[in-house]
Amino acid sequence: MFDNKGMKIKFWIPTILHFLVDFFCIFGLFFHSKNDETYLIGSFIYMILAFAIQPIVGLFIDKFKNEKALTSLSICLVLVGFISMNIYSHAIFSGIGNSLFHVAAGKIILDKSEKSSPLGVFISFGAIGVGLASSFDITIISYISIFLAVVMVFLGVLNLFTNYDTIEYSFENDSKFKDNKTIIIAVVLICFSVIVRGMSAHYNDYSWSLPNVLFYIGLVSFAGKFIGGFIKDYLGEVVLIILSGALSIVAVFFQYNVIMSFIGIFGCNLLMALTLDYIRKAMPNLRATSFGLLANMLTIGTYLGQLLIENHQIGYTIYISLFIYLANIIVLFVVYFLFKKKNLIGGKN
Amino acid sequence: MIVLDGAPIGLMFLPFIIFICIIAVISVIIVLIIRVIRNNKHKKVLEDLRKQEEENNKNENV
Repeated sequence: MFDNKGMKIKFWIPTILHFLVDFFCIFGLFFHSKNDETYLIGSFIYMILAFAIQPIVGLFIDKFKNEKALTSLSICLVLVGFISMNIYSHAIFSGIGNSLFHVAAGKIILDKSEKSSPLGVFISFGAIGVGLASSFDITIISYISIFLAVVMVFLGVLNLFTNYDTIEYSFENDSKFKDNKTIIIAVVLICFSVIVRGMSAHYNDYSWSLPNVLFYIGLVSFAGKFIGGFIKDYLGEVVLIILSGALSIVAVFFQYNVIMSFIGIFGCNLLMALTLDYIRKAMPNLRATSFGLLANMLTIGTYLGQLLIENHQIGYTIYISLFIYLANIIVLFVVYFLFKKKNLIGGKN
Repeated sequence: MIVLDGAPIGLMFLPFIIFICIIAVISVIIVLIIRVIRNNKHKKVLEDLRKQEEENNKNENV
């Protein structure tokens, strides 16, 4: 998967930290909230700080660099928030910490790997952290969290002393992508793809009853994000886009079935690594900003989807789902052909 | 219950979050545009200096 054994081990530090950061952020919101009202306000503050401001944090990291130190700082912020034992301070500290972590550690992964599989692996572990934190009984998770906090501190310190050898992108200093118009079109299309993917989260039928359902959804999302990068690396983006589209579209017609729903969620999540890879190709000198931009777009899509589904008839759900997945496939194929035209497909990537 | 990466949130906050996300993106775009304009200005100044230097060299040779 990676270039050598040393690099392989090093890549697991930000990846496991991603699982732990997401776990503590979400678990803290449940753990510290006294009632529904404090929980809602805490979540609101957290969402704004953790997701909405990510492109601004990315811009800051792209300018000042030093993402390794900022990753460890973000771990401190998340832990300070968690041990502050107050929902609002937790929301503020962990929100800023989460935002900083995603962009800083994301840039480490974007910088150190030319393939898409490490991106998928890194992102996937966040989904499992969120799934674990939001599913099981708080008492059980509380005991586990003590052990996880120790691991988090250890990895946070280890990260500070790890030398992530930089691999320069083959296309970084290349002049083949100087066409500003193409860049803007590609970025807009990638953002659109991520927005519709975020919307799709609300167009699943969650009416089937299953204990710890959020954990299973997290697990399926994890699998999709994890495998997506490998499919892209070994079979190519055309196979990945077609496979993802086929699974998502077929699943739309059988959403009453829990297995088919999970297949749909899996198919949709396959594209995570691809969009991250595309955006770094479009914005090679603003990698942290591009990473934050997609997180922001996913947030917009998720909430836009929620607003839409609250305001239209249930009967339209299937048509909107189909539109979402078809639009996603078409948009990604357009980006693919744009990149192919500019010789950005293939080569080392 | 509304879910973003597993965290639920009240419906009334949704438009605010979308609004702040859009504001964040717009501010990033503005910063990038300012950066591009500054870079272009810088390039122009350098180009002018280079041309001036070339002219000076020509005059010296004459």
